[in-house]
Amino acid sequence: MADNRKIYGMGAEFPSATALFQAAEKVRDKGFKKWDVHSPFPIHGMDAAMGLGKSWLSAVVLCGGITGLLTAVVLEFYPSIIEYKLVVDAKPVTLATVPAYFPIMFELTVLCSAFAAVGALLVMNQLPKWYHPIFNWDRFAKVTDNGFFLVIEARDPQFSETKTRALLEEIGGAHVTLVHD
Amino acid sequence: MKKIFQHPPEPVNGKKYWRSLDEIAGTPEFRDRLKREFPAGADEFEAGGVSRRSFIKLMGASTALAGLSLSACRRPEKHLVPFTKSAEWEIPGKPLFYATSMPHRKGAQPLVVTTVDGRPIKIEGNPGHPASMGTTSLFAQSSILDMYDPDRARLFRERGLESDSTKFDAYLTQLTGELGANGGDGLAFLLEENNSPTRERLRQAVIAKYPKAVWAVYEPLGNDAVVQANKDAYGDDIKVTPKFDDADVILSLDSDFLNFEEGSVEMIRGFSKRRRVGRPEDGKPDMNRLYVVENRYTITGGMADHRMRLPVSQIGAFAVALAEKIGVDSALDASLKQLAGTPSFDGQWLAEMAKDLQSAKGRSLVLVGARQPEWVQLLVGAINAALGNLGKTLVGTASDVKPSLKISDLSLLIQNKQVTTLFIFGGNPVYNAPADLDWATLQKSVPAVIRVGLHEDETSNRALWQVPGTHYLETWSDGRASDGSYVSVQPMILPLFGGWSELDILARLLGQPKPEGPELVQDTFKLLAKPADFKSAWNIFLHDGFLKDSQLNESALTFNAAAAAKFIETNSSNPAAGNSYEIVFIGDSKMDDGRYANNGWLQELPEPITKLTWDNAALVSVATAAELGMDVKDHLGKQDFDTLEIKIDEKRSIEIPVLIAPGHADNSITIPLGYGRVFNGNIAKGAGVNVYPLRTTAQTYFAIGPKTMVKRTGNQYRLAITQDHHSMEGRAIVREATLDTYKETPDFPKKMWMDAEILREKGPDNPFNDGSNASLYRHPPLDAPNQWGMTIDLNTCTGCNACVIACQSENNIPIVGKEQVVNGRAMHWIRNDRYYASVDEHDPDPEMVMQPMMCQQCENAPCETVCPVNATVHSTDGLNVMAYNRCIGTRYCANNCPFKVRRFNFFDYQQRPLDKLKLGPLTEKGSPDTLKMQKNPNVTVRMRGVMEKCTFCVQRIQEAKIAQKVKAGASDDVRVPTDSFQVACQQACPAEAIVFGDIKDPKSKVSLLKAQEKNYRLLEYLNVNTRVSYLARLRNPNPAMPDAAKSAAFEKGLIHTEEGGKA
Amino acid sequence: MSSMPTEEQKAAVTKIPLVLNDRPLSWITDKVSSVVEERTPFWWWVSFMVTSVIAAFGLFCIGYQISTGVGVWGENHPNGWAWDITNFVFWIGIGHAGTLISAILFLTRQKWRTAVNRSAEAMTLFAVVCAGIFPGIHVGRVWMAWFLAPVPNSNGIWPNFRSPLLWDVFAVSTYFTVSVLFWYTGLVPDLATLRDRTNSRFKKFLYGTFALGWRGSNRHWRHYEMAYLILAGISTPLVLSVHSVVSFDFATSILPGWHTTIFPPYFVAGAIFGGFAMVLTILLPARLIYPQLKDVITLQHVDKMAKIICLTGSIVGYAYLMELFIAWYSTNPFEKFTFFHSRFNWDGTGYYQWAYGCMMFCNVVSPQVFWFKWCRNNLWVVFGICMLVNAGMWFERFVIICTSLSQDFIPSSWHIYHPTWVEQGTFLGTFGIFLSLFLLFMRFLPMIAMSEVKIVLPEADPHHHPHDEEAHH
Repeated sequence: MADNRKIYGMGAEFPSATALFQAAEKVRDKGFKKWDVHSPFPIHGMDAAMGLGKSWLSAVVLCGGITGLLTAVVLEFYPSIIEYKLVVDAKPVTLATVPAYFPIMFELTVLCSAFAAVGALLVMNQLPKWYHPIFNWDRFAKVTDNGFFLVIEARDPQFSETKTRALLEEIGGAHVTLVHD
Repeated sequence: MKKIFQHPPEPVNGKKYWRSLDEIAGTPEFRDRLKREFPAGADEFEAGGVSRRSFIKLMGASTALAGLSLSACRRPEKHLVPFTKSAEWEIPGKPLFYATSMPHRKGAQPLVVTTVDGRPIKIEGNPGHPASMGTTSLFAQSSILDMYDPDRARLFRERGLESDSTKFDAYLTQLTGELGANGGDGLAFLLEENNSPTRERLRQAVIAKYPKAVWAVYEPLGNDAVVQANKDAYGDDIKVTPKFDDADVILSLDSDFLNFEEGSVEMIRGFSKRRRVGRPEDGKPDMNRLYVVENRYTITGGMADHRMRLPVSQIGAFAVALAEKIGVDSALDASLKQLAGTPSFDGQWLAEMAKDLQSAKGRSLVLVGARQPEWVQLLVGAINAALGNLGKTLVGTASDVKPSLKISDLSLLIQNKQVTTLFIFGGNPVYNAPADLDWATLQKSVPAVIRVGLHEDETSNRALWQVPGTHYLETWSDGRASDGSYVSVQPMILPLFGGWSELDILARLLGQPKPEGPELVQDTFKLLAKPADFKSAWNIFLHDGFLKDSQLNESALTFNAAAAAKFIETNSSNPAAGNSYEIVFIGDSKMDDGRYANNGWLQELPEPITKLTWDNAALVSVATAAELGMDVKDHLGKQDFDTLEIKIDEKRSIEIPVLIAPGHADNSITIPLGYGRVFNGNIAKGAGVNVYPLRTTAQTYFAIGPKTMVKRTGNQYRLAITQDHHSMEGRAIVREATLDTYKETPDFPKKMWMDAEILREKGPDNPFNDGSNASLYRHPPLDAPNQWGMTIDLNTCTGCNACVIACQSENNIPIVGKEQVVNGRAMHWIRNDRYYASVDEHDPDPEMVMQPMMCQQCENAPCETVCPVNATVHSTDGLNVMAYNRCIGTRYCANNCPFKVRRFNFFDYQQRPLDKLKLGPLTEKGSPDTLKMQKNPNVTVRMRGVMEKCTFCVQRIQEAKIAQKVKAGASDDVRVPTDSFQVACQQACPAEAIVFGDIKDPKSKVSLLKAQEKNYRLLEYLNVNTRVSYLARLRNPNPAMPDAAKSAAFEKGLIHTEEGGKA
Repeated sequence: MSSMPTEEQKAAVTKIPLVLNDRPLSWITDKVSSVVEERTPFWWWVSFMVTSVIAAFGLFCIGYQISTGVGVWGENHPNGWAWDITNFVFWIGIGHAGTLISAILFLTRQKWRTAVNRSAEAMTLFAVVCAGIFPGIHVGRVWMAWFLAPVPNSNGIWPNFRSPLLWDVFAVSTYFTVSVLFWYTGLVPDLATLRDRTNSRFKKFLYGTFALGWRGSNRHWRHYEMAYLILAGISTPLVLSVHSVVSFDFATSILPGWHTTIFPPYFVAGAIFGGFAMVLTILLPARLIYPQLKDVITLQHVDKMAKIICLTGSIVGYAYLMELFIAWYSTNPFEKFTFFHSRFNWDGTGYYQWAYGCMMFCNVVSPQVFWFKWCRNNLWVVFGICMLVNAGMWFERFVIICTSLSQDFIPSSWHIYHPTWVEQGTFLGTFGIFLSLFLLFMRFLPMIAMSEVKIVLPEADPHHHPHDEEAHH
């Protein structure tokens, strides 16, 4: 089907997680950069198979947590020590009584960490993204059921319609298809 | 949800300005109108540069002024002399104090009334008068609410149809004519007892003008027997008053002199003076000894060192036995023989007690209740004579009240159709006249009945004329205090509902015009005082509230034994101690004879002993209850109580709920009078049972005989009782010991119970506690110049409840209605806890102790730390303060309050009708205007959903502080002077048991008291550091008495001996 | 990653397959999705009608109480709290199982959780919704509740950060928010599944929107797994903290019966206890209605949860006894009175002994039957015990609150509390709300986390060889 739509990339379907895993290792060794695999569930060890490092999302969460903690500290101690000094139950605001302020520090830390985690997840995955060229591939609907796919993008320098197709078929991909934008 | 702010309605004329503002602003006619009203503002306006804001400021000012003149328009035109020393006339918002007095059958009570902008809002005692010394009784405190009662009679009614004062005036004119013609034939007056000299003067005048007129006085709780006995024993018009100052040993025979007998305020003060025990090192601590013989626990019985429960009908027998033991005038021997019977009481008790009395000849005092028949009164007189108390602890004064007819005499005249025109001033005979008179029918048979009363009540319904009466705060009059001194009654406000006073009507009957002002009283004053310079003398009289040195002169008392013997032999009857129940009628400690039935404060006030509100109930002993087949086990959460049917004879019977009263005499049933009113009083409606139908002329105060029948009906009735549990569960909350223990170990309260643990020295068995009960951290300093604190002397507090009402009227505390009290939602900021204490819990003779409990103002207040919004925090002068408009009502503070003194507004008690609280927004909002007028403007009226509690009358503290700051000016002398003001409960307390002041100031009363060894604080072990502390109670038992061991045993249970164990 | 699983755990995981009958991936997808995709069954309409009517009545009671005053409840002096806070703690407790299963069991590699965590989390959210109602409405002036928030206001007063109630506000709201995030994160891949299966444009649009364009890319899974792990990591201390904070409401007060250091662990144990009971109460009927789920929610799951109930029940029982012991050991007369008189009614001075009895029987005695395998595997027994536990946990809170308040330091102020129809109606109403929400959830969202269940299938393992299903490295 020759048409003049921009090519997004080329995808192939694999029968099982195992097949996809081995395929990924091969593609990785071929030195492809702009490619991805799609599966109904995270496949254990796939990151290594694709040559990806550890996610650095945790760093963002740490920052979130610290922000929360500081907010709590300011929120609690600024008024109690500077702004609204009140004698409550004859309790001073000293180290001896600081534990009374821990619960709220803790809660705010957790709250901000959680927001950071989810926020970072969306940003790093560039979600939400309701349109994606891959959805144009009719077979791809299976990816959320039992389909295993490997897609090499046209942006990849090594990409060539013929060679890539050959490679995908060689590593055991079925239904090798050119995915248009 | 958006909060809608309820602004007070602006005066109408003020409103008009606002509305017309936009329409007519700028129009020429508006300008010159403005010129007329506000020249200054007008200029500014014409200058053109006026901003709308500054213009509205002017208008606002005018509105304010208008409002002021409106709210002030009720102030009497006649000049009253303010009690304040200052020559200033009224300053808006600042209170003025006027001296007056409250007329009462027991003698007028000298008062000082606080008025704000022409509204009386609070009643205090007159500190200048010896009969008050600034303290007041329960009834004086609550009488302000009676004046503002929205259910008061507002209309003149002729034959029940609406009329007006002019018509009534015309009627009086015509009547005066007719009566003048026939010399007052068929004219009769029925009045309440009142010793007003003016009324007496007018009475003489009326009798002079209408020789055939009849003058009768009726008091349901009168003391005819006493008066008669005094007449026989001491001679005409002699009034006998006890003097407690030198009475070391007191015996009370069925006399509740601390609550109900004549002039209780002075009685309490006189008595408590001899109960206030100093510190051992300041000389030998000494107190009087009180023996009480009574059928039920009264607050007097609660103060007793030895108490015997004895049926009222047996008091006579007791007096006889006592007279024999003591050996009275030989003239009485015959009568004693005639009366002698087999005593039904502990002879040893009596013997030892008699010895004690004899050992204190001239320094002893035997009192007998007014409810006892005349022969008993005479016997007691003889006993006092034998003990040489006459002229010493009992003094006689000449009384100037001429005797009047009794209601029984009057009813005879009516039966014989000799009465055609009957004036009924006050009172309520249809409700409370003796049942055998059948007054309702009698009154119908009188052609013309003119009734002057505060309410349209049972009696008004059958009157030809119903005339709205005046409250004593609305009218000019005078009276004599219980010590006989001449006191003024001056109005604080014009009659709210245009009523007439009895003096007005008497004046009209004398052909005079209705007095506009004090003319009548002034005439009496001239006669009594014979002033050189009338004007200034009169002013001083009004200013002080009484005439100096006007007490009636003392007259020597000589007991006329012969006359007494003669009377006793002919008239005495000594009912044997049979098994038939005796029915005892007592005046209710809140409703009196029923006159206060529509007073919400009093209806909701817990009865001092039973803690019962909104109802009356028959009281019986445990044994009697068991005999009647009741469940004697009282368990927590009990709300429904058995009812009894009580029959005096075939015709007369009532059904009334019954309460088991510890310490009550067996075979005796006590019923309080004054309930079950049927009239359009919203408060009185449905409160209690009317007992008067059982009461006859012959059996005024108790009924006994084969005809009295009592049985359980099997019905249940719901009672609202504020205290469910009656035992201290062995916790040293009220601490007491005998005088002897106190002498050995003055600091016994600190050695009691858990406090002993705290105070123990650090040692092997107690490694951590060094006796300081220390905190983990250093507390922030409370560094204000004044530090407020309070002590309550449990040895003088009788539990009379005056403080509760004083607090209620000072702090705008709402009443909540019976159903809410049943749910445990009463709002009182002070409650009087009453505990029964006995070593053996089945002891039929438990001791009774009282303890006023209000916010203890903890320095380490547990309520503060739990409030999520900081609505309750600490002030630097040591108050646990509430920010009502910050409170969101989590009730966490109340949960965490160890004293449970915080009160929550579960409903909009101040705004909604109490019988429809559950309909909430569906009911009309807002309280009656008159009730609003009573509110203290310096205290927030709390809304629904807000927590409230005692704040040590913070408004009074602030007033004092501000005044001092003004005085201090630039200087830093902002410390409020020592004991320069009082809080409401302290000011009211007749026993002066409550002392408030600056604990930082070593010279203040409260500091001195806190320095006493017997001063202790509650729940010390919690380290809440309360600012309120109690002076432990002392008892002075006679070691020779059979029951002497009891008090000792009780204290032993709690005092922690050196051995470390409980003795 | 967190601790390695112990040998027993491995054994537990490997002995019986988590999904029976060796089902393929698509089978999971079909069966789970079918629940959502099939026509709305009749029973659903009926039960939804009933529950929503009950919920409506509850809302009416709340409206009445707010407009008229807390007085329409039975509370009084000294019982400032009663059913309101009892119900709050009850629901919050139930709201713990979900996050616990999702978080703690995730960290401890309890793979069997995958079958139940979705519905358990949903249940958590709905329980917290119900719980949140009570502290909200129990205050006297609801319209002033914003004073709780740290915002400057006309009174110039700041909230009191030392008040346990303020801790509650932060803890509960945080807990709810984090649970929602956690739950939704888990939902995204399954929403994508529904999106891809449905043919109706509308549903496609709806599910698609919430699926955020999920396409199972491994570059996404990489961050996703990290985020999920971290959420599990922070939810674990959170879930423990929430009930501790709730217990502080009592523990930090000075009231005998409240003032107890044992409360935080004891409350958390109780929460897990009650929470699991409620999970089973919900899942067993669901399993009955949807037989196709039987291979996913297996007897093994029920058995494991029964064991947890037995364990936590015993912990709670230990706490009860320890309270009694300490009361006796402390020799503090107030403590002793609260426990032995008010609760036990040693000598007739108490009133609430019946409540104490219910609590003891339901929470301590009844779960002991789970020592026997037969009881753990007989669904009727399990269901019955769970019902008892639900009731028992409510009574626990009632006993703690009411016995302690009604008889405290000063005997003169002792008073008994009686509930009114409004309180009862409100409590009933929260059940209506809870069940209605759960029915909606069953109807429109996958009850079982498909993508997670797929992971535990043997074929999910890239190095999958027969007879070696140990999935962990």
